[in-house]
Amino acid sequence: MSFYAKAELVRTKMIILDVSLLASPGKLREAVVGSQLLRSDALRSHITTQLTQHGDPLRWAITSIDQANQTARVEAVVTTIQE
Amino acid sequence: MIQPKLHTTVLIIPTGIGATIGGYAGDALPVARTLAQITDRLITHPNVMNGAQMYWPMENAYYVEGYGLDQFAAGNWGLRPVHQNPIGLVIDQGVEDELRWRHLQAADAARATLGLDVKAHVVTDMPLGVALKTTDSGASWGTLQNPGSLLRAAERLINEVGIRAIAVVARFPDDEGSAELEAYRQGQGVDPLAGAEAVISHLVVRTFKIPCAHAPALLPLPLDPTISPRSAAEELGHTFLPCVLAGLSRAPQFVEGHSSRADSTVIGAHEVDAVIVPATAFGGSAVMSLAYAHNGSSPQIIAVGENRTTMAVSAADLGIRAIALNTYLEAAGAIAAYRAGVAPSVLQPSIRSIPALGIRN
Repeated sequence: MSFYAKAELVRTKMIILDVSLLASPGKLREAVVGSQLLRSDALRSHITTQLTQHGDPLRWAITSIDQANQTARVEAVVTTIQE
Repeated sequence: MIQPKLHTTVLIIPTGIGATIGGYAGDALPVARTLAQITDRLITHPNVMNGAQMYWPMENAYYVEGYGLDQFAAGNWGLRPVHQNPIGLVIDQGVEDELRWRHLQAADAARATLGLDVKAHVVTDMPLGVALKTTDSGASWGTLQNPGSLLRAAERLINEVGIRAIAVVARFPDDEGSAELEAYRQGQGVDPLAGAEAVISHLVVRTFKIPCAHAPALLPLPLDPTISPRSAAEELGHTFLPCVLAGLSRAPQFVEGHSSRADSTVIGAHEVDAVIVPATAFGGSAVMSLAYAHNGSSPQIIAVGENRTTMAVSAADLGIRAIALNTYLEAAGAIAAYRAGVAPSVLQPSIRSIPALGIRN
């Protein structure tokens, strides 16, 4: 039987998140030198982790920046398993 | 004998964000062809290389689907170049009989004229149910009603025929007469199909870790003599499949894990020397990963200003140090100068004296 025989239960879902651009006090080692901004590679990992709370990330991008609040708007498609 | 270091460039023009160069029908291919002349290895993705029935095979260009490119950039996967891939074709059950035959004939034509190894096709056991969406940012996205059906079809081709690359043809909604489609045909706005296309290929690559690309099945549009040259490649016939098959036939295979550093036949992210991205599209996973070196010095990150998009994320917003240039011609020049060991600042008429660091107490 196909491993994906029950894959009709997979769903794709769009979500939007706002994620802080700043390194938390415990993660300043991951900040850009001389700034509190998370390095982009660390921010990428952080976004992936945040998206995992909503499903399995398939495609995402930061689409805009809120300079005042130092947050990134992330648009994403994740997959979920429908119980 | 020590081999000379190969220069590797990654060209990224994300799909579905209205890029003024590369947002339409294969209209970034001239950029790829130019860059392929000044770098040893050009790694780029289907949105750059696909022009429906137009394509241009290049020995040193590597056709890497977006999800695979993100994994490569993050250092999770390496790229193993191949001489050829056996290809399987998945056709959405939602594609009508005549359109299905048109696509099967395109695949047969690719076999007979290009010699491509398209081994078999399978029709999905349910309609895929592609739905198109546009978000607040203006980007196109999409979802599938039955993604499991896509995965089952791909799995059959892998297990029963042994294919190593998958082309997917999904039925997309005909939106003839819509403002979005009319703008797209005029070389403006956002490709309304692109986001959903990426979701389809990402799902296959994430699941099976082999190359995949997508061609939408649509009814032919009525003639419009005012079509933009940037969109004209998709007005030529019944199918966009030929470029996909040509690209997949030599797409590098993905190698999981970190073994690529020990294997000289596998290209790893640590070997990337230059990354070229539209100046407003720095919020993608691949450039965010590549901006910081996996090992040693960071690559040249080049932001191209005149390739405008609907995104609003600059290199500076993310603390990325990028070379800001206006055109792809300048980007090609920056790479040529780097390869020659020439600092770009000395190519300008006025050269400042060498600065001194202040005295530290």
